[in-house]
Amino acid sequence: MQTSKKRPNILFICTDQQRGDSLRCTGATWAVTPSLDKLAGEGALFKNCYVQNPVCSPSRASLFTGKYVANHGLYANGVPLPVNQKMFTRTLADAGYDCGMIGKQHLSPCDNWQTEPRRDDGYRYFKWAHGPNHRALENDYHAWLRSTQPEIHAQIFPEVGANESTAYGNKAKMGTPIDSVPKEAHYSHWVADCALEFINHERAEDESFCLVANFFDPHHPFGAPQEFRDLINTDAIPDPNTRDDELSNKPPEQTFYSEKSYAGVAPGFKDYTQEQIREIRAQYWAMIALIDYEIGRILSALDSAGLAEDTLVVFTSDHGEMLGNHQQLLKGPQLYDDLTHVPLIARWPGKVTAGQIVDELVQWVDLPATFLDASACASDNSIQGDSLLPLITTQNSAWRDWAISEYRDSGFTTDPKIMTTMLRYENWKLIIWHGAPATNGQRNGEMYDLSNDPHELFNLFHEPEYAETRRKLKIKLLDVMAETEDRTQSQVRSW
Amino acid sequence: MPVIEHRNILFCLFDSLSLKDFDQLECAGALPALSCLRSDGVFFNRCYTPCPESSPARASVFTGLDPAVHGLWTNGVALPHTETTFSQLLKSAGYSTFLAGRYQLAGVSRWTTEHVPVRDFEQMAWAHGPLHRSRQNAYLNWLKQIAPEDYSSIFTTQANPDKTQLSHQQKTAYEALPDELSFNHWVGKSASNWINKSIDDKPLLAIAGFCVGNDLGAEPHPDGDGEGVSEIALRQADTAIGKIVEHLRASSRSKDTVIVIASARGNCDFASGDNQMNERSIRVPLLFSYPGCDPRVVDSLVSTIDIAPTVMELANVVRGGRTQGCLLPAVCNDTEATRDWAMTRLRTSTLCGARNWKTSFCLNKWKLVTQHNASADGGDKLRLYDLESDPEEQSNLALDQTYAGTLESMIDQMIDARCALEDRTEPRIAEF
Repeated sequence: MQTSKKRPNILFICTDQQRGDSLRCTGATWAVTPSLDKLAGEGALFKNCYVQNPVCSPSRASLFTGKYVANHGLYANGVPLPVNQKMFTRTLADAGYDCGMIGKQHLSPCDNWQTEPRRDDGYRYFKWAHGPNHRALENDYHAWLRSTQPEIHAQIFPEVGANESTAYGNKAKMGTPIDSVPKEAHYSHWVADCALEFINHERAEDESFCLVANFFDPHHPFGAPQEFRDLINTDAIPDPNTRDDELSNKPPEQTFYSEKSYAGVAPGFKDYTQEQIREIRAQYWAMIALIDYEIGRILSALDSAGLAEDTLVVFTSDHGEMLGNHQQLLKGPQLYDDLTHVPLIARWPGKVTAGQIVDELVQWVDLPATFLDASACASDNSIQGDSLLPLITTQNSAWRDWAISEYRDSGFTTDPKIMTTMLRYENWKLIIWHGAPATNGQRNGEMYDLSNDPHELFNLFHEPEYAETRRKLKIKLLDVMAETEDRTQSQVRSW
Repeated sequence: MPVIEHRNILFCLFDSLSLKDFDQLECAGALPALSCLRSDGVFFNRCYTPCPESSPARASVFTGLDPAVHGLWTNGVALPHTETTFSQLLKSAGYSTFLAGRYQLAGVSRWTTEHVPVRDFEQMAWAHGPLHRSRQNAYLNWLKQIAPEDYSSIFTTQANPDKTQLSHQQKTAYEALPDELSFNHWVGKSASNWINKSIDDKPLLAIAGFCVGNDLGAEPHPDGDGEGVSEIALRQADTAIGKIVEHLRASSRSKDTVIVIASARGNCDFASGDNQMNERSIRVPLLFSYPGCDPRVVDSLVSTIDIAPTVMELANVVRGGRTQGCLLPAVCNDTEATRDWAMTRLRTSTLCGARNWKTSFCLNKWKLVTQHNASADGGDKLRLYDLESDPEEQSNLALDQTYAGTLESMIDQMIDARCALEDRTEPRIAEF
């Protein structure tokens, strides 16, 4: 029998590019997500979780450091996380946790098939693969595939061939061969296999673990094993969320991103037929169905090992996916909920009341604070976020009334550089498209009344009758920007 | 003598001196040495500090980073050891470096000794101020040795770390000392002595940390961190600077030496109801004087975070990536095109622990000040001033509908300036 004094295990499951509304329990009635829906029912489901940045690397840096993008230094993909930034896994390892990481981490540049270097990360177990098509020789998924499915590996990844291009995955219009291999050969299956190996590792009775299990899906290319594609009813998936002439009332950069994604690197919404967009959306939910299946395997392993009661399980994703909404695909400087709103589920039997829905605005910087709080043994003053535990374990806890997300030329670069900032406050969303002196781009904005326009179709930023609200939100943004500055260095003297 | 390809730098940094107070005293003829340097040098007429608190402002001067980036966000916080100062970079580049007087990149309350990093200075004579009673205060140790009776007249009791407020008796006794026993005289003399002793084949960096604020190194004013200027101390600093310059001219160093005169922050007098974001608090004198410079007054708006990269450039030492400052116009190139904006942030607490957070943004003739306290509203939340027609900031235009467009445009640009000052110093080395 597990003792209640034992520090909890932390199982952090993170997908890549998964929208906040993509689970059945978050509104996608066509989604095949029984494991995650069950997990949500056993824990807390957060309805309003926002990431600090809408692309991978800066968002993940906020997760691992607990700092806002303005402060951790990794403001764009292709920028390494500065060495002086501490990862929460290091803090947990220092407190005696057995830490592991599986899958994509992306705290350093990975283009040109670069291997992500190990940092002072605290991991005993490290199985790294930036993605299923990433041809770094240290790709642990490929090593697994080579040994478990040598024919598939040899067929898909010949020593020379089309896959040599680092932009291969981004340029692909639909799925690439590796995306639709049978599940037993799939990246998502490998993540679960590794997680099982880690969970079942023999530990001392009082040793707890922290596992970061990172799935690459449902990141594009849009392809999934046929077995899971067959589970998806394409007709049940609604058409993309947009309206006629929508982009004429949005910042003009969105028209450019509608034509080509990734600032011109990847095919854009306009490159697809309506039928292809429907198929993309179906493949997206097929990938999610596969993830759900694999997460089911991980959670079963936790049960079988008798660890479920003593484990805080958190499920989320690093950012969303436009998925054809607003006539755009993939991700970039757009700060619609499509990109900034992510799923978040936390289960901790006996601690977190089962079946609760949390409406507060929470953020990714809160996650490492939550893990350290749950551990009750590790702390790190450099984290800017707040633990979510008071919110989900006690009835009345004061919580912040805003969320912020900041894009700083973070994806593929443009000239002039695009920088955007999102503020969520009350029923409003304000998005600033920055101008000088931040960037030479044209200053612009978006403003949505989410209570009347939850799909962010009608930009009120330039509407004269909303001028006062716009000004009020800008002033609130200045307050929030002041709030999010890094004041984590201790004031050890009074002057 | 070998050809020196790196110029010597004499960096005189005042603790609290506003442009306004400097101008007044200089016009009155009280500052002959500084007047002379001003007329021979490049003088910046619109230089702003990024913080009206001492220690964050000084950290910005030495790192070239905004306080939100270098991490020393309020007094009492130490500059993180991961940050580098221009003193350190110059020392690594082969400069012989020396500090006399105040540094203040860490808290010094309770008469704490500041542990100035040895990587910054080859030698130092550290003293936070004439009335700061750390046992390592090199000025006080010198005073005790050469004028024990004077020392005893100032300090009649043992130093007590629980009582660090400025005492009237101490201040009066200190100000009654003859000039040659003053703190600023000692700072100048220490710098001159060190220049004498230094070997000729290494370029020099001498930091003279003068103390002219009227707290004199004791605990800051209890209502917040603001300080008026001590006229006596400033006059003594002027004399001391004059002597160092004379000393340099008499040596072979003069033709290769850049003299920088700067102040970390302005003066703020709570007794007169000063606002910590007014021009007197955040606008400071800045001047560069060096052989061959084209004397002029630069009206472009600059920031004290521009000092570090400019000093590095003049010293011909590679700056490295982590700086946010711009090269100062007229000193580093012929164009006067520059940032033309300045942002200043105060993130401190009042005596009762409430937030005292304000942000100021200057652009052209406009100045916007926001107060971030949750309770602030109406006229207190936003202040908009036309500095050209209202240099005393008497008329807040934020509530005047005629200026609604200007106000929102300034809000927009303050948001953009905040974005511009975020930490993006790490280079982007790949696409993803």
